[in-house]
Amino acid sequence: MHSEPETLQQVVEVMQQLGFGESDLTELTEETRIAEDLGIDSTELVEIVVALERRFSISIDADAEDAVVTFGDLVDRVVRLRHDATRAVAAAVKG
Amino acid sequence: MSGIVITGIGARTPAGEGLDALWDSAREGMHRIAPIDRFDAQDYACPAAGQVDFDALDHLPSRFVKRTDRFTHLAVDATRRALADAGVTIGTDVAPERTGVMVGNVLGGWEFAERELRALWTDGPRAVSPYQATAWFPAAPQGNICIDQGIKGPARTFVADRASGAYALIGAAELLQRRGADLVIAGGVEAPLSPYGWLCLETSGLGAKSGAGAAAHELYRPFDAAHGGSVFAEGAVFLIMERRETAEARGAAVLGELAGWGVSSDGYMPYYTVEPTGQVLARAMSAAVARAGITGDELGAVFAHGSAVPFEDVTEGYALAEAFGTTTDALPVTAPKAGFGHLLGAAAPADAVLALAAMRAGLVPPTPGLTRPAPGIDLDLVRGTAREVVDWQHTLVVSRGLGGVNACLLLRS
Repeated sequence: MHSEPETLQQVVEVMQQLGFGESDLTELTEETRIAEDLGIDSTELVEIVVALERRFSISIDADAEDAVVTFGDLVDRVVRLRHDATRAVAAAVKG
Repeated sequence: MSGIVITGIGARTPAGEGLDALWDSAREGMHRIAPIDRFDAQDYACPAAGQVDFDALDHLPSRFVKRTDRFTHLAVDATRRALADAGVTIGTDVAPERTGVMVGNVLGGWEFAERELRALWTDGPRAVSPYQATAWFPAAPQGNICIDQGIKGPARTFVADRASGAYALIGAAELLQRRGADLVIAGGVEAPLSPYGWLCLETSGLGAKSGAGAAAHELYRPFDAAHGGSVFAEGAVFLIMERRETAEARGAAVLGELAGWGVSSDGYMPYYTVEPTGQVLARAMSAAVARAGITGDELGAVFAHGSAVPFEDVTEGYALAEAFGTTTDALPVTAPKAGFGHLLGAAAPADAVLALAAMRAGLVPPTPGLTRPAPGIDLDLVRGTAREVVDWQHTLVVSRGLGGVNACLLLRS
């Protein structure tokens, strides 16, 4: 799935609110690795996931977080869950 | 001879950054205690404190700041400065495995904890920072100092009320003596300026109470007839400690020696007060002097616990008389902490470094707020202005905690 530039930018904003500064996010691409390049450990990933959930009104499955290796993975997950949420709302409205 | 020397000092106190700022303030008897502006303290018995002008984000990375409490910020910054003062880089000048950390703290990190507990009760568990558990607990500064400096040796946190910092310095000296480390970062830290932390200090009964229209700087009055408890402060003071031969081998400037120490416990009920004759505290004083290989008449001055809690003031006087007899008639006693506030876990380390600065200058700093000694306290108290003392080589630092935890230090210039 392709990351949407708008969602990507919002994920960056969430991370900035969690203390990520310019030095942390320079040369950030979808291939940037969460652990090795950004130094994000499991605790900080929990913090980021919860912040993304609140920002986008989505629910991220914590058990599937192992699959998040790159920054692109993280953004993709948010994009997919937002689409799912939109479809669910649309279905409910039609229902 | 303990052979344990001090080769670096880092401090963040209400007087500013570093020992020079603290010493200048103490020597002049300046008043650093002011109305609390960190939170709304108007409903507290003591709405004044010694506050540190320190914005963590100016000195530490934002991702570090967000996961730690202010007491960790102050401690990590002060240890960096202490190491720089000593000219030491861990991993270059000393092996990480041979470096130790000893920290004294009383309250833990309540500013962080209060914010997150508020989030828990108002927005639910998902709103709580995942760092809450590790940010609050009293050993957080110790762990973060080790991470920040890559330290791999023995590390420990002492929680012994207001004697915590003295216990940390003693722990460092004993570790060095038994060669468990070659260099130890030792000191104390406290950040009590949050609504709940401050309330704990109020309900402890140890805090001064405003009233009768006294100004903020008039509330903390050790040994004065109007003494009524401490005004507390935030801050961090850390020392670099080494065996003398290690320090000399690397060409370090030796700032002084922790020549002796002594501890004792009152084991006295009710727990919120202290043993009334002062005899148990006296034993810790005598032990500190004896370990340094000197006698009471070689003491140049005493930096008192000076909590201004009436019963503690009086028994501290009894203890000095018990330990040193008629020598106390001409033994200058001072409590410079009345000027910048009682630093709790960092109080004894602050007194220790002030004692070194005072001996170097040959000046005993005054006890701010002391104008008329309380009846029954028969000590040679230094008040008004600093007093010159010649050939001054030894200073006793007295430190006590709730329940009669006594820890005394003997500093040699």
